[in-house]
Formats: sequence, structure tokens, C-alpha cells
Amino acid sequence: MSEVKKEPEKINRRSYLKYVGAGVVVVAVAGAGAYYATMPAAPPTTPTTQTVTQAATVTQASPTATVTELPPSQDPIHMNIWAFRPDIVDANSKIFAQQYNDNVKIELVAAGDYNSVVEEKLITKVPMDVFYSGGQYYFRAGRAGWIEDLNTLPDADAIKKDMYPNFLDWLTSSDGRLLGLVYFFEVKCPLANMDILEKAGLADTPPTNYEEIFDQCREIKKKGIVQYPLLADWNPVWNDGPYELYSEYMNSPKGGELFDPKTFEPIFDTNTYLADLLASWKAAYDDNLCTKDIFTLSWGDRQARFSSGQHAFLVCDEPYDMPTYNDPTRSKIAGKASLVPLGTGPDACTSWGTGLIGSYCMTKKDRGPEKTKRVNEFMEFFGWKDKDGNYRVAKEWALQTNLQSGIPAVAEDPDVVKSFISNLPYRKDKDYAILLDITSKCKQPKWFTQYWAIEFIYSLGTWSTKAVSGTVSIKDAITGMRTDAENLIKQYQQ
Amino acid sequence: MKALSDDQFAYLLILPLIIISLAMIVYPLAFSFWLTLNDVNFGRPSNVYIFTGFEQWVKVLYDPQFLSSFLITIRFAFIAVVVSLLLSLGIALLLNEPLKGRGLLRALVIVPWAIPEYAVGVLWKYLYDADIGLFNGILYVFHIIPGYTTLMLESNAVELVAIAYSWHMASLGVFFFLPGLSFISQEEYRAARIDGAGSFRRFWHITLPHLRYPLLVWLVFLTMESVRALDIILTMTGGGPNLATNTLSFIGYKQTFQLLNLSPGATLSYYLMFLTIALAMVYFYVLYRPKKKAD
Amino acid sequence: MTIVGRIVRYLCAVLLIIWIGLPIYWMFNMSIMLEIETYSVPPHFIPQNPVDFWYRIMFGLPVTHQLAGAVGVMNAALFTHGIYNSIFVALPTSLAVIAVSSLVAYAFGRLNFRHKNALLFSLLTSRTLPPISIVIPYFIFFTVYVPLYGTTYGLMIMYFITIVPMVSWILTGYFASLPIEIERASRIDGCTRTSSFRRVILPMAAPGVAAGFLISFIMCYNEYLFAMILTMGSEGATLPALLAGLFSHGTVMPLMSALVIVAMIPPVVLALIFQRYITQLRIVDPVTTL
Repeated sequence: MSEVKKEPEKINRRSYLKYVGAGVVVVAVAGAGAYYATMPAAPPTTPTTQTVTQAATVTQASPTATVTELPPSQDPIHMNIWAFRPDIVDANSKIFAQQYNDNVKIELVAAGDYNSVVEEKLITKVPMDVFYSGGQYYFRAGRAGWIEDLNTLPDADAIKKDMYPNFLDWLTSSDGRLLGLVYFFEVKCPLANMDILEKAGLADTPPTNYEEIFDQCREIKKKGIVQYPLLADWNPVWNDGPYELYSEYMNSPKGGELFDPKTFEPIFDTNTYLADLLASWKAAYDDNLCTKDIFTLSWGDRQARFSSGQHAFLVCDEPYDMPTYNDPTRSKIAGKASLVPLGTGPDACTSWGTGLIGSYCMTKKDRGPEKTKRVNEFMEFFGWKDKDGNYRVAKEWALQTNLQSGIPAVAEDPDVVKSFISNLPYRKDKDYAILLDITSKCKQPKWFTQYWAIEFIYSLGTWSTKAVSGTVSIKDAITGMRTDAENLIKQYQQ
Repeated sequence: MKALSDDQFAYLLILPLIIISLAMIVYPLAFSFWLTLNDVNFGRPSNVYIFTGFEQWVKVLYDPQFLSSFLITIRFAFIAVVVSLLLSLGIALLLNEPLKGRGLLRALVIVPWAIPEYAVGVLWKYLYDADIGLFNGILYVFHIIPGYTTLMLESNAVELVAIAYSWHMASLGVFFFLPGLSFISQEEYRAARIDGAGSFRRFWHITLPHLRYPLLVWLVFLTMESVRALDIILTMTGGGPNLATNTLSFIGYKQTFQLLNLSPGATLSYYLMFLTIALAMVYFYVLYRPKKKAD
Repeated sequence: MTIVGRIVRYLCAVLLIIWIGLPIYWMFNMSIMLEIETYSVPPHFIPQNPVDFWYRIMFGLPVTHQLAGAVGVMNAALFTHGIYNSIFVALPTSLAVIAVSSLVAYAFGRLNFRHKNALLFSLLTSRTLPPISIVIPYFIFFTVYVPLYGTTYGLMIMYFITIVPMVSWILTGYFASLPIEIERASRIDGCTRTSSFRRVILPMAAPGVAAGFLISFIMCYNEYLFAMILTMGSEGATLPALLAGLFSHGTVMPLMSALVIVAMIPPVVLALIFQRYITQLRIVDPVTTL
């Protein structure tokens, strides 16, 4: 028997502290060592014009300086998408592969944190050629030099002529680079449950601005038709972006731009309409026009709740959800979901929502001529025409999922128009006319092009939540937004 | 034959663990530590790293959101630990009794733990839902409330999430206690009953002391896990109604991964780690009683 | 046992069944209803129109009714690939984990050596690091230095290094609880330490080691954060990584419920099989019971 029986040390305070202290010292030393030794290499610096920038210090797993070209079967085109009808993307990519004798790999990234994951992929340069982007994210990618200028596409001029001019504007960076092609367009607008509005006698007097929406909700609640008439999009979620506050501010005749269009200095403060806007939101919340968990609802939750028929106004949602709300097996309000038309009085909003583009972007990489040609073809296939000259992809999205396209020829195609109208069963042609009206009049804030746009939107969301729920006063919230804006601008100017 | 000494044999056995611990602890710790000393922002390509020294550490402490999320984390962990502990002990005691169908019950009890944490979050989110949730339905059917209402408010969000988390974790706890319970001899209970001790005293003076070590293990494990809990918050509340469930772990995630503010995220994670170690030390100090060697 | 005692016990058992079973039943209930039925007030505890629609969609089987509009329809091939990846990651990792953990647990649970307490405590500290601060350095490591990003092998490594400490710790208490007389007897009979370990201890410890395997498997299979950050959108995407995005965006309740139900089948089945081993997982203080 050889197990030496030593008295087990009683674990006491002192020996713990000793070991923890030793641990801290080890960590500090290791940290210092890590600082010099294991530092990851810097991502590419970004001069805006010029030849492909490859960070000299990034050690990559994939081939670096001399680009060895492989045949399509060994070197597929990588496309990253979010989880929206991946079956359609899959089918289209197979058609592309057939037409161009190529090989495509579709990678599905979770929609919730899609943009974060894609940005990580862009920073660390994993294999990715084309990816979805949208809203403000492609501006960010453009500034950081992560995406290709699509003016280099062989048919760039034709593509640009084929696009709605304001969409083209929204896709162009301040130095003239084309950052992406249109995958779809959306403008979130208020949706109405006309069943409830009819019962309340409000069906013929649509609200023309957001305060009027709240007032109609109050009336509906007073009449006891539903308990929570308002279903607002007030979730300050990182990736979806709380669009409402700055959209309403921008579209209201009393509001305007949050930042100077040229210098991008913040020009809002507690004396501007922003305070009144927040006050009207707070009043709606305090009057129980909406459920108190309104801040945690995701897009899917709002869809489910609106479909359950327990709310009068959904403020706001994308019109491409209309088929969902009007499908009798999916929604209790089928046939009664409709759009709210734009008003014409002096108090009316000039449009609803903010115009947003979901785009295809191409990563900036040293690919070699063959691969570049293939990726260009891929880009044009999805963003424009297929090999036979048809606007295949855009039309298919429009017909199957009600997504608005960036190409007038597609939007005005009679099949597409018929499909859209069939998804607006309440007022049919009139609803479609409302949609076109909103689309043509919508705007996009100029400060979207700035690098800090996303973080500022998030700050808007968190502050407005605090103001509406009463955690901070409206004055403090606006001051907080303003301070955040100034800090962000400063931070990105270094 | 050259024999290894006891010490050498032991070290040989645990060598893989030491290597793993180095990989797992030292590299992330060192890297994160480096992050806390710099202001790292990949969106500022001209100047990705700016050395800031310990400025981050101080700045984070002064951020009001830090204090509130610290308190939320403690509150969440406290409720989760207490509820899970009571549930685990209770269920274990119940399953220790002779019951018909005990085997089936034991099989059933492990299921909530086998369900992934993120799925538990989704599940309980649907249960609490204000428009179509099951709990609303039950309350309504039994006429406890006149109509569906918001169950998850700012004031109780932490508690509701903690309950869901306990549902998940208590199942594992049962199996920490159950084996130990079955080893307690009935003699002791009989003797105590003869001496006139009621059930609670029997529990406190006989059952619990036998469970001291599993209790320690479970408490430490559960506390550490609930302080670091992230999955369930991500899927259930995303930070909660108006930041009500904004735990340290969650804002660490948000900062590091969504906002790509690697530096504040790393600093927050360090503070979270200190908290966890402190709690573990407290447990050990209170609960650890090395008995004199009985032979 | 008195009558009152019996009644109380069975009542508690019923409550337990409700506590555990009701949420799970409700999840299953939702997964066999069409959306419109989930909106019923009061809720339908038994569906009036049960459908297997969502399960069909999940596995790519033909359906008679087409969903209108925006639904994050899951790609069936992707889903099955995700399950395959999850199991592919969990199985070898768990085997490796128990292999290493048994050795470690034996050392801590049975032997006495210098610095034992410190090392035992350090086992714990490895789980004090918040997961996000572990995953980001490894994200960079797997993309810049060793190209394992997006693969199942990268995940295996991550899971291995994070699970071994914990399972070791649990098994330590278990090994300490094994009766020492048999081991002493085998040593007296002339076995070396290694052969006594192999021939005597391990068979005795089999139930506990099996429980350790179960714990490890479930932790690998259910792990969300590492899977999401390291494999989402890539070849090696495991099930949580796939489901992650569907949770927040347009996926509807019944589909989500169906996805979760199917996702939870492998770990639940495994847990049921191994359940009798985990009930033998007696944990005893390793330092004092020698």
C-alpha cells in the first residue's frame, strides 16, 4: 500500500486569496505577452479609390498573394443570405449554375444576428463573394472598404438606367461608388385592421399622421371594441432597427432632418418637434393603447398578434406581409387588412416610413480574372437579368413573396401588378394605388451614409424606449440622444 | 520495475486537463485582457487599436447601465438558484419515496434539462405571451382574469425568466441529490422519530447534512451558470421589456457581438468573471467542512 | 405510511407531472395546429383541426396547402444536415470528454497529491469565464490562424475544452464515492495502479461515467452561442446555429414549435436511455473521504 496519507489542507481564506492572486499575476503577465505576440493582424486600411487592398499582415488560411484559380466545381461562388425563403434562392442559384455552367454555395445566416455575423465574416475575410445587405449596413461596409464598387460590372450603365433613380441614389456612396444592386425595396407603413375600424365607424376617415392614429386608437378603446388597438414597432432591437422615430420625424410637416444634410451635425434638441413626438408616444403608452410588453415584440410576434385580430393598427410593417394577413388559414383578419392612405392636409405626413433597400453586395477581393467574371455574372443574374435577358429573380420574388422590386419594368409588369392587387383584397386597386403613392413619396435620411448611423439608430431606440416607458424624462432622453450622436461622430472621426 | 510515485502518477493522469485549462483559460483571458487595454473598433480603419490603459475599466464602472445590469444579474441568479434549489430538493425527496410509477417519473423529470436552453426560452415566451399565451388562456378559462393581459411586465420580467430557467435547471439538480438521498439509512430517521423530532427537524438535521457536498457542488455550479446565463435571455426577452432583463452577460454579448465594441464587452466580461469567482469562493467558505478523517 | 401521507405524495406527483408535462404538451399542441387556430381565445387544449403540415414543411415533404407570404421556410436538406452535424459533433466529443475526465476524476477523487486543492479549485474557475469572452478569441483564432471556422471540428475542440473541466469536477465526487475496499483488495492482490484502474475501478465506475457521457452529449448538442458564432451559415452549422435566426425573424409559432420538438428528440431519447445511470451519480466530497 503506498497511498501516502497527507493531511488534506483545509481550504481557508488565505490559501484562496493566494491562489487567486497568483492567477491574476499570471494573467497580467500573459496579457502583456499577448499584446506583443498574439495580436491579430489589422484589417485592411481603407483608401477609397485604388487597387485591391489586401492587409499585408493578415495571415490567411486561404491562398494569398498569387491567386490560384480553380475550376467552378472546386471553387464555388459563396453567397450569404438571411433566412427568408431560402428555397427560392436555392432554386434561382441552380438556374444560374445551369445557365452559366457554374457552381454556387448558398450559406444561410440567421436573420436575427445576420448583420453582425456578416460583419465578422467581412472583417476576418472568410470565403464570401456575394451577400445580402440592407438599410445602413452597406454604407458601413462601403466606408470600411469591404465591398466592391459595382460600377465595375460589365453592364453597369444599363443596370443603372434600369433602376428607379431614387433607389440608385440610395445605393450610391458619397464618392460615387455603387455599393449594391437592389434585391428588394420596402417602406414600412401603417396597416389597418378594417374590421375594427368599420365597427368603430372610422373606416372612411383614415388618419393622416401618427397623432391621429393614436387618437383613433383612443376612440376604438373607448368604444370597447378591442382592449389594445395599437400594435407599435417600438422594439429597440439591434439589427432590425427601430425605424419609427426618425421616420415619423422626417415625414411629419413639423419635423425634418435630424442631422444637417451637408455637415451631418445634429440639429435636433429638446425644443424641436421630437419632444412632442415622444410625448405623443408616451401618452399612447400611458393610456394603455398598446400592451405593456410592446418593447419585446419581434417582427414575428407582431405578425402573429396582428393576425390574431386583436389590434386595430400595426404601426408599422412592410407591405410584403399583406399576403400573410389576408390568408384565411393564417390570419383571422383575412380580407380586412389594408393600407392607410396618405393624407393631403397641412398636418398630413408627406409619406409613411423610410425607404429601405435590401441589396446584393459583392465583397472586395483579389479574385483573378476568371473568378471575377463569374461573380460579376452571378451578381447581374440576381440583381438584374439572367442569361436570357429576363428579369427572372426580381419578378419571382415579386410574384411569390410580394416583394417590391427596384426595376420599373418588373414593378409595372402586368402579372406582378395583378399579384400585388390580389394580395390587397380589401380595396384592391385603390390599395395598390396607395402603395405606389407611398413608394414614390418616401425618403431616406441622408445620414444613413455615415458610419455611425446604425449605432445612432440603436441609441434612438433605447432612449425612446426609456422615454416612453417613463424611466427617464423626455428632455433627458433627447439630451441623451444628442450626446450619443456627438460622441459617435467624434469617435469615428479619429 | 520503476514505479511512479503517487504524485507523479496523479500528475500524469491530470496532464491533459492542465493542457486544456491552459488553452481554455489562458488564451481567452490574455486576449480579452489585451482588449480591455485598448479601444478597438474595426469601423475606424485608419486607427483600429488605440491604447487606453485602464481607462475602460474605470469608465465601465461609472456607466449607470453597469450598475443596473449588475443588480439585475444578481437578482436573476438569486431567484434562479433559490427556486431551482427548492424544486430540486423537493422533487428529489418526492422521487425518493416509494411510489408507483417512480421509474417513469424519474424519466420524465430529466426531460426539461434535455431540452436546449434556447428552446426553453422560446417555449416559455409563448407560454407568457399576452395575446395568445397558454398562461393567459388558463387564467381566463378559470375566470381569474377577465381578459388576456400582459403577463410579462418590466417589474416581473426577471422573475418570470428565472422561473423558466429554473424549470430547465432544476431537473438536473434532482439527479445531484437523488443518489445521495438513497444512501441515507432509515435507522437515523427512525431514531429521530422515536426521539420525537418532527419532519422538518428530521430533514434539517439528518437529510441536509448528508447532502452537504452535493449541495455545494450544485450550488456552485448553478450559481455560476445562472450568472453567466445567456441563451435563455437571448431567445426569451432580448434584454427584456425596456432593459428589465439586461444582465451583464447579455450586454457583454450585445457589446461584443452586435455592436462590435470589443473593448467594453471584454471589460464587462472580466467584471462578470470576478463576480462569479467571488460567489464561488463564498460558497466554499460557507459550505466546505472537511471532516476529520474517519476510519 | 399514513393515508394522508399517501395522498400528499400522490398529489405532489401529479403536480410534478403537470409542472413538467404541461409546457411540453403545449409546445407539441401548437406544432400540430395551423396558425389561425393558435390565435383562439380561449386556447384549444386539443386541436380541432390537427395537421402535420409543419412537420412536412420541415422535412420537405409535399404539402397540399401553400403558405402565402413571408415565412422563413426552412430548407429541409439544411435541417437534416444540421441535426447530422449536431450529432456528429456531440458523439466523438463526449467520448473524448469521458476518456479524459475519468482519468482526471480518478486522480482527484482517489489520490492525494501536492497542490490538489488548488488544482481542484482551478477546475471550477475555468467555468467562470463568460462564454462570449471565450468565443471571440477563438473566432479570431479559427479564422486567422487555424482555418477551422465554420467546421464541425472547430466546434469539437471548443466543446472539448469547455466541457472537460465540468464533467471532471462532477465525476470527481463520483469516483470519491466508490468503495475503497475493493480497490485496496486489488492492490494487495498485486495489481499495479494502472491495471487496478483499468480492471477494477473503471467497471465499478461505469454508471457514473455513462452519466458523464450523457451530460457531455447534452451540453454539446444544446450549446447555442459557440455554435451560432462559429458555424452559422457555414458547412458545419449545427442545429442551434440553424434555428437561431428563425427564432427572431418571420418564423411562425407553430413552425418554431415543430422545429423545437424535433430538435429536442435526440437529447431526450438519450436522456431516457441513460436515465438510470444518472440516478446513480452519487457525489461525495473527494478530499475528506479518503
